[in-house]
Amino acid sequence: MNMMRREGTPIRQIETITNLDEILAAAGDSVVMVEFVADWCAPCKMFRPILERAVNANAGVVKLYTVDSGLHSDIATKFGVSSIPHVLFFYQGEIIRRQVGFLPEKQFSKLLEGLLVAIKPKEEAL
Amino acid sequence: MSQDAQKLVIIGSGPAGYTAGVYAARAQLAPLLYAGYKAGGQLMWTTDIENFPGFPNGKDGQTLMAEMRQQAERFGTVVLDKYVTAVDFSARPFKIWTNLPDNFDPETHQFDSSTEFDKLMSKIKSESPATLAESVIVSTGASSIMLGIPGEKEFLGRGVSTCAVCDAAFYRDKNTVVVGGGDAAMEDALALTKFAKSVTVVHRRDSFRASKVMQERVLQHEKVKVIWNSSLKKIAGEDKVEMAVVQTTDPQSNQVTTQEIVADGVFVAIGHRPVTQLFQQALRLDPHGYIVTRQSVSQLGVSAANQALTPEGLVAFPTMTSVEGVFAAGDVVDIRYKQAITAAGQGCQAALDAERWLEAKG
Repeated sequence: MNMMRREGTPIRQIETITNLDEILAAAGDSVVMVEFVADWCAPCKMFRPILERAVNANAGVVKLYTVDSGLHSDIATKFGVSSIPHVLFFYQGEIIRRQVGFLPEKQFSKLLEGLLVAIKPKEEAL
Repeated sequence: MSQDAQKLVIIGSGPAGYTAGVYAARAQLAPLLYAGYKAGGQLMWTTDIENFPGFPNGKDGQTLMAEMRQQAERFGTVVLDKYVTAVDFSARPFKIWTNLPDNFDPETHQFDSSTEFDKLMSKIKSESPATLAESVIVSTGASSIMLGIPGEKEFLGRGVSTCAVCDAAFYRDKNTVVVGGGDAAMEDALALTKFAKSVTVVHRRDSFRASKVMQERVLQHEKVKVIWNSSLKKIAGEDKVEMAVVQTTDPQSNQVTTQEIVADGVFVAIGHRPVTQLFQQALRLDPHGYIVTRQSVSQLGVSAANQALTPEGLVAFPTMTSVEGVFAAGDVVDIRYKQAITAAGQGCQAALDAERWLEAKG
């Protein structure tokens, strides 16, 4: 949990399921992207800068956390992740979308924009 | 000749494109290279390249491609991470577009008909081209082929994978299937042996076409079993992959048998198809979609070479396509070898041909 408070660290590691639960509980109305990666995954390395730029472009609205699925296979198993790169999008504690595999930047931005538009009415209703 | 036309535009960013960039930049052609959104090509997905000379301990694909790009940029190649979306090679300077209609996704869109494709092209071409070019090198490479069988798309990411190296660790003590017989399939099978309980390689012929060193590693591995003369017909399961249907044809009797095998993961590595949809009308392609040049190892290539003989009996500009001033290199041309090193070699040839052709034209 202390890792998520470490400001200035661009991507924060999730190491336990409790860790993830706490992050989701504290996320409010932000979209939380949880990226499953591993050292040996070349497409993950291509995907990372695209995700980072997406977070920067949507500062405060979108947050990014990462799970090293090589070290924490229990988290991967819990969420049915068997192929990486794999991004889970959480909103108010629930998975609203999954992206399996690499996506070029333009397509990824479009996907994220779509999600942000889709959750807007929900926010207004609150 | 238009004043603002580039001397040379390179389309594609694998070993062929970047090598062409290095040579053309050093020849002071100030090339512009369209790398696409997936810059780097197929090698970006390869962990360890063991057969590129100069790297005795192997080299990871991403680093190799990043360094090739840096080398091209160092001498003045301008690399743009954009797709080329349309071309007009009917007159010089050649026209190149990069715009796309809003909400059009080139990654996922399936064209229903050639008419729909033509309509898209007209729409793109109704805007001004992004670039004009006096000469072009096409090195768009090849993209992987999927099986196109029931269950494949449905279970992508839930047991069907196109990157065994990425996903092997999720298959600890599981039963896995690899489809294919080339180096990529061997690499997948070996990656899986580190984790899986079993690796069944399904191949449609009675021998692999992979390099001998890779074949031996696979065939000698205790976890690997090969089902020869066979193809996958179906992938099935409830929430995730549970089994695959394999169809075998006996080479002697032609008798066909079908069996179900237990499978938690299916890895597809059956080969690649040249990326030439954009050039269908602009350049001569062979029946499989490869661009024909004067050095293509086919009847079409031999005919093209014969028509391009100089008085000295040499083939002029061997990498030139059916359009004068448009050259092609790498997997988009290569019917036979398809190696990083052969692609790089052809990229070099294409750049030298383009340089000489531009010089001769004055």
